Amino acid sequence: MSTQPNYPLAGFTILDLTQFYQGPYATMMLAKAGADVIKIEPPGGESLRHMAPAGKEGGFPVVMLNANKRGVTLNLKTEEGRALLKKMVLKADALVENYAPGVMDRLGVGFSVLHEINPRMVYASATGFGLSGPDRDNLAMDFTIQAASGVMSLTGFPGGPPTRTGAPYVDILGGAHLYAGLMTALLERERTGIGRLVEVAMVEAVYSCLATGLDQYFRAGSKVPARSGNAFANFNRAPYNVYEAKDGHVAVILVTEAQWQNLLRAMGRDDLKDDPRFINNDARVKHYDQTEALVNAWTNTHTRAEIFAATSRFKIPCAPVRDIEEVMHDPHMHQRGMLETVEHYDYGPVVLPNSPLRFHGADKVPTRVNPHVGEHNIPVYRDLFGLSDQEIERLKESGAI
Amino acid sequence: MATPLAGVTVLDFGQIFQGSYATLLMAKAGANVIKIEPPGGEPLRRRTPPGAKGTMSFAMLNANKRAVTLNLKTPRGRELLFEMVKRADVLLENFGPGSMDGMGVGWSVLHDINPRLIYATGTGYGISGPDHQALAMDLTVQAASGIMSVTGFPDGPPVRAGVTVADFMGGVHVYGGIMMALYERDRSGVGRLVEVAMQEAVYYTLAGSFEGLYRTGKVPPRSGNQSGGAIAPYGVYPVKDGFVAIHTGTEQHWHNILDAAGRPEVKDDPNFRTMHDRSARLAETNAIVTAWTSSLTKAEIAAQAKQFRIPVAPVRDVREVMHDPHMHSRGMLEWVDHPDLGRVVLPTTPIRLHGTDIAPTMPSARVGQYNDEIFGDWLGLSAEELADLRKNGVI
Repeated sequence: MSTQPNYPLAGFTILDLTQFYQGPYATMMLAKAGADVIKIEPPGGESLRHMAPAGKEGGFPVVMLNANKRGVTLNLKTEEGRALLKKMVLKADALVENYAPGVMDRLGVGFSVLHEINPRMVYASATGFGLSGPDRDNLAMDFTIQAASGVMSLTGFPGGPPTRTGAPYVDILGGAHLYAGLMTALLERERTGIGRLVEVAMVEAVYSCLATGLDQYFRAGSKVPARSGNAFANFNRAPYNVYEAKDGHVAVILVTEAQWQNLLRAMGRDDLKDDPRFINNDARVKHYDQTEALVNAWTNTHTRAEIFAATSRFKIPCAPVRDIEEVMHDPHMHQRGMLETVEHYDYGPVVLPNSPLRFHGADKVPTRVNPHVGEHNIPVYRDLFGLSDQEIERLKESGAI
Repeated sequence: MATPLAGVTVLDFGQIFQGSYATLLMAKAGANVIKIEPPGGEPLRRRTPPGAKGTMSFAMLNANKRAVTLNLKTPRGRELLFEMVKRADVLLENFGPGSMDGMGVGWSVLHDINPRLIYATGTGYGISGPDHQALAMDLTVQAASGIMSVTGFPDGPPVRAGVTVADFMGGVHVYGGIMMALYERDRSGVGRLVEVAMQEAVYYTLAGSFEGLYRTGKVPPRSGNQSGGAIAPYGVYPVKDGFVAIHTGTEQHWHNILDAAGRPEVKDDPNFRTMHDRSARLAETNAIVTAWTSSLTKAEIAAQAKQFRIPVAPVRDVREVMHDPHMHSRGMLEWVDHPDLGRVVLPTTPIRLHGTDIAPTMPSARVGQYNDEIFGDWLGLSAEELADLRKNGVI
């Protein structure tokens, strides 16, 4: 205990009332930066735990999103539970929640109440549609926000249905904005002394992702672009696609004409370097099928590794389409410390990610796996907030924790 | 005006999407963002179609920034950067790893000049590790990161998310990392090197897919618009004028769907009682839902969603989203007169700090529009020196 670890958020206390993906992602990043994140769950555990496979306390998302947090139970539907939360608020730097709009207010522990108790505490709220506006109370999940936000309308093939992105990135994107907003509020508090209500809505967080779609919309004279599968919007660039290799697929995208010349060399088709059909992107778009056929003829006869080696040598942007097992075992991310193998009480040895935020010169917070429900009731309620053992016992009996 | 980042000066070498998004969020929070471009402008400007004066994406991502030009390949250009670094709080770049070092203006050099400077870098794969030199674009990161492998239908190819996911995911992480470094600097007095890799920023989006892998020991197949697990109803359903997406989270949601569909008697039908029951009779369950949705329009479904509390949303296209009354009423979207594009809808920032102001929108600047203001007024160069810099291609 002689030297303090060098963490950006050391000494910082977070009350984490989050659930599912969006909120827990934000507080995970705080925990990985050294904050003391106290995950507060109802006595039965948060909603995401209820989807656990038999015999486990949580599915893998619970495990990934709640590492490095301490877990306590608290029943906000009891008077004593709410009183205890208010006591915790006195000592907290921030509270984070992603309940539907109005839930915390109805429980009598909304921003305005807690702000009176501790004006320095930052209160961060993440929702689907925000805390105001006509759609505020619409029910929101990653899937429905993918629909409402326009991103689904651009995903999938022409002639096919709008398609969900199989990875719920809208939740995680919302969570990253929430983390970022919370840090902005903390920084501002250093000057003003006032903790703000920070608000992020998923439907707004994802809006900028439409940038290319909006470009095409304006370019076409206010015409909505059709879905273009794996190709660029309106098939305006070539080569730009996912191509079939002998053992899977590769994504290839060209951004400069020099890369086209390099690709011809990589494919052993230097004979086409002056061919007017392919001389620039406009020409290749005009001869789209022929261009695609050329690339396919090459990728079809090689493995992903061979293609990637060739494109690396010739400086062409390309990546193998990897499945999640390959990604999990990626030597690059393991070497960088983003991924590590950790012993978990429910899963045995598992690959867990760290925070994607790196602060060079700061220490890495050693990974601690996600807590059991209420695992840290004693250290948190007794040691941090000063309750006696008898009080804790009584709260347990009355169902408040 | 009480903006959270008032007084913070940012040197913005952001280009295309990732870096520019991070500095946009800072500009909207009141930071003084100076966008530094090579004399010809950054690559995104070159996507302007013939005959047009600019692109929507550039206008979106570069509002509230002042633009200057600077040629880092000249010694005088580098000297001017050093002068700016002495006066700045943050420098952000999303060039390929090592580019700034190669020009003699990397983190270690700039940190010596101003130890309080925060240096933020956004890349595809990071600045270390065996893949750090791999060329990274949103499409290739979607492929390498696994997102593409879980998107699409079981019998079809892997499919990209049709929007730019990895760039913006990276951008917001860079912004968040800078905020943390600024906060820490208030205590330590030292600026950090902040690093984000797009591939790592999207890793957590695969949480649910990893769940499938751990449950079965096998990589789960793509599931199109079906839920990967046992959730029903879940999917994209046809309506008279398009599609809607439904995600039934609880049994109560199912009952609410049945009320809206005029089929309350099914609530007691043991064949459809639980998620598990309905997943086992997916076709029949979906038939009940489709009979309801296909008789209505998107607007009618949206009204019923509010009335009956159903997690359903219309699949909206970009035009509908751009004109969304909800986001306009909240101030996330607003009409702006843009000098090059005319009257357009632009977003502000999705990060709201109640009680603080969001910087009023200033349209994106033309290449070098603020050269005189920044190099003259801020750095104190004379009119003759500015003329010289222009003549010599330094700015």
